[in-house]
Amino acid sequence: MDAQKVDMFIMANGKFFEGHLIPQIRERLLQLDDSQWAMIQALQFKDPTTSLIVSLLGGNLGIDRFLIGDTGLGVGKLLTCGGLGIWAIIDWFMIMGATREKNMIRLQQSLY
Amino acid sequence: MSAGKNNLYYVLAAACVGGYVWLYLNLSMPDAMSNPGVELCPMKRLTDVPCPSCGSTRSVVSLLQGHVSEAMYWNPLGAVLALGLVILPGWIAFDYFKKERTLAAFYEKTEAFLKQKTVAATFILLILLNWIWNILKHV
Repeated sequence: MDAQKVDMFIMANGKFFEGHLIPQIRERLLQLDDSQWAMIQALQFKDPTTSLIVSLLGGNLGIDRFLIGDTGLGVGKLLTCGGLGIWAIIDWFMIMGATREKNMIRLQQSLY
Repeated sequence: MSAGKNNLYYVLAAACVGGYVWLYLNLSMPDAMSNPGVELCPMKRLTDVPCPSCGSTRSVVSLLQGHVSEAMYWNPLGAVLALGLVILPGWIAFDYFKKERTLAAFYEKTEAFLKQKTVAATFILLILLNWIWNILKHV
């Protein structure tokens, strides 16, 4: 794929992924065929900041985990008052990373 | 702490250990832990409004003492938690010794099942009803 297009994608979507993975994503996208550009463009990613806000407000009920697609862990959090409140607090710090991880999995699923 | 390859087992094992420790504390010192004692639910502490799963400790404790109807009154979700506490340690041990991933496979299947729109809507409705009941009975 065109380096210009790839850089455009990175600029628009870089915040959705972990910083150390950006070069790897760039490399992979450069190898891609031009026909896949539309598909890559259409991918929707979850914003880590949004999930942090949701985690702060609804983390007790596991809504943050449901939002990023970790339904099982969400149920676990919901049933235990956010892990007796402790897991909810831990997740305030983990949720942004978890969201970026989920975004990466989403991108990988569409690439391979 | 995502549901990665082996992380799932660690998270579930930690949850089981935490659950049993919490249960032990509640059983060994019922007076110190009972209302208004140690209240870990931050939502209830901050807003005085119970969350959907408030009362499940009391529910599991009543269940252990054989008071089934009392357990259902405190919180029906307590039965789900009790079931998890009974089944999960054995299942984790089974997968660990047999070097299989039956629990992870089951987890993924359940997740996919819960993500269906109608199923999710049903469960959300049930949880909301339980929450309303919790608020009304001042758990």
